[in-house]
Amino acid sequence: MARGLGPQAGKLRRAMILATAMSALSLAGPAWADADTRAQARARFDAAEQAAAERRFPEALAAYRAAITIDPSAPFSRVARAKIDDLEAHAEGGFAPLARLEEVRRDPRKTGDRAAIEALERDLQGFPPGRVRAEAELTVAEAWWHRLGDPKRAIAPLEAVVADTSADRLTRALGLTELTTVERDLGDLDAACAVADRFPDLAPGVRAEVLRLRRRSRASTAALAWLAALLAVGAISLARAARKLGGVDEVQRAVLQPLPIGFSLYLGGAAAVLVRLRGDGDPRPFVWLGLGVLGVFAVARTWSIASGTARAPARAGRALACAAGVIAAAFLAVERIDPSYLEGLGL
Amino acid sequence: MRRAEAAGICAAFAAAAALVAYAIQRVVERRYFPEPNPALLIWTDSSAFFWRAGVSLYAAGLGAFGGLVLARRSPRSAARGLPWLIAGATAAILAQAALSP
Amino acid sequence: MSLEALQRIALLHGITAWIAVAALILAAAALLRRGASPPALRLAAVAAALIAIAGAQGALLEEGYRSRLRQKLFLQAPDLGWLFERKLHLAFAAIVLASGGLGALWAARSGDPASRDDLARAAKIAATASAALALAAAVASVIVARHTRF
Repeated sequence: MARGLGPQAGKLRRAMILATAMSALSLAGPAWADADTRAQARARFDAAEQAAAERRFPEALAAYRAAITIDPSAPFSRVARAKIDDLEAHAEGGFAPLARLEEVRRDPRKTGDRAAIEALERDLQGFPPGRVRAEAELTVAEAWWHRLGDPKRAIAPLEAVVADTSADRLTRALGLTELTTVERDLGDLDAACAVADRFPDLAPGVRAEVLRLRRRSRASTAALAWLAALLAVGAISLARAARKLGGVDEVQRAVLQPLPIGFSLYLGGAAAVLVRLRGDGDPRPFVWLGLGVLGVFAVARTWSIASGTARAPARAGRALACAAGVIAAAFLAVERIDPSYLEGLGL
Repeated sequence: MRRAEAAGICAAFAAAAALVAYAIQRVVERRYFPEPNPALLIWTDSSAFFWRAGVSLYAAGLGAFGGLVLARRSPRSAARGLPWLIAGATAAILAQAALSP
Repeated sequence: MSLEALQRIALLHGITAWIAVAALILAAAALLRRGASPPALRLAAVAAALIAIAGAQGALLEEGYRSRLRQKLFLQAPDLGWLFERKLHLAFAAIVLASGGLGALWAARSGDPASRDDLARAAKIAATASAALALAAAVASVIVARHTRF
């Protein structure tokens, strides 16, 4: 029996060995092909990175695309896709504007060099509409504002960014925030409000903030003017009262009485102590409030003596004017020391 | 007006002012500055109650000054208004305790 | 403050508060019956002092309440938690009204006869309100204490 099966067994054995070998080959084949593919893709990716670093953006784009075409599942393919998207979004003008921008943006010496920034500012006038132009304007503006210490020259490029409808919304909103901040730093709140009003939907939070600051500024001016007016009334009344009562000393005795002094000291002092005890507040606005109230009271009393009329409308008018003076003093005290207290009032 | 009478009136005005200030504070707190759910709040380092009481006592001082000015100007008016003031302040604190504890 | 200290102060606070409530009720009754008389004035002064002492004891307990009991109370029985918040408001009002009533009573005794009636009326309102609020606060405390204590 064994002799009868011998030649057939041998054939069978050879067939089995051949089948096993072929199976092994077919299993090993894709792994060898993957390693090779991965290496090719890696090489293209590295070449793309190199080209991007050297600002050869068309080559970089082509190389990134090739990398993900060769091996879409490579670990670096996600990075490659992101870079492709970014390059495609900045492709206007055949990448020449982007290369020009990156030439300055990547070099810290150039971003602090007046001549380089001026040159970029001139060149970007010829950039086609798109993201690169807006980013270049932002780069120029930031260089003028922060690196070169010339915030006024940042205004024009920032205005251009905000008005550039071909730029993306985020860049424009950032430009608007920066522009209003520059205007505020330069003390021109009205200009900041005007630009925020021109683009109310671009950054509503920024608009609300600058309008609030303008309200505060106007309230501060009005408070100062009112107190100045009261001071003038007080000075005039002092002269008249002194003539009436026979001297400044007499006026002083009539005006500075214990009760109002005590009230003013209590108003400011007790509040300051209370805030101090609580631990986390600033007591100074209250001290200034107390002193302000004392001053307004002195004006009110002097005015009353000088005018000599006790008619109800006159008294009511004086009371209202002095009450407004107290509010003005309180507002200025808080505004000078800690304006965050005013935010809850919309100021 | 005698000093004792003035002091007594001041104290009464102060009390009324303290109650009204306390009620207003608590209502404003609950409406505009609500604290976290007490069931979830493990610890606070400051006492809201003490702060309210402190501010109310400060308001009491202001009320005392107001009472003194009124008592000097018109003792009869001060006396006549005081029962209404006390009643009103009591009603205010009761309403606050009931509706906005 | 240790738990033992809190428990002792809480006990003392409870006793003082109830004595103060009794004194306030007596003072209000004396005022209503006899007007601005010397006994009413003495009673009102003692009652105001007692309720102020009870309040001071309560102030010592406040931090312990806030750190040890408040959250537990609100977790287990929120209604009782809010009842205790009300108790705090009423207790403060009772102390303030006791002082204000005493002031009005003092002014009524010392003052101009023309103002006496109005000042006495103010004192009666304040004393009655103080007694009522103090009683309400004491009852609320007992209700809460049956559920939660130090």
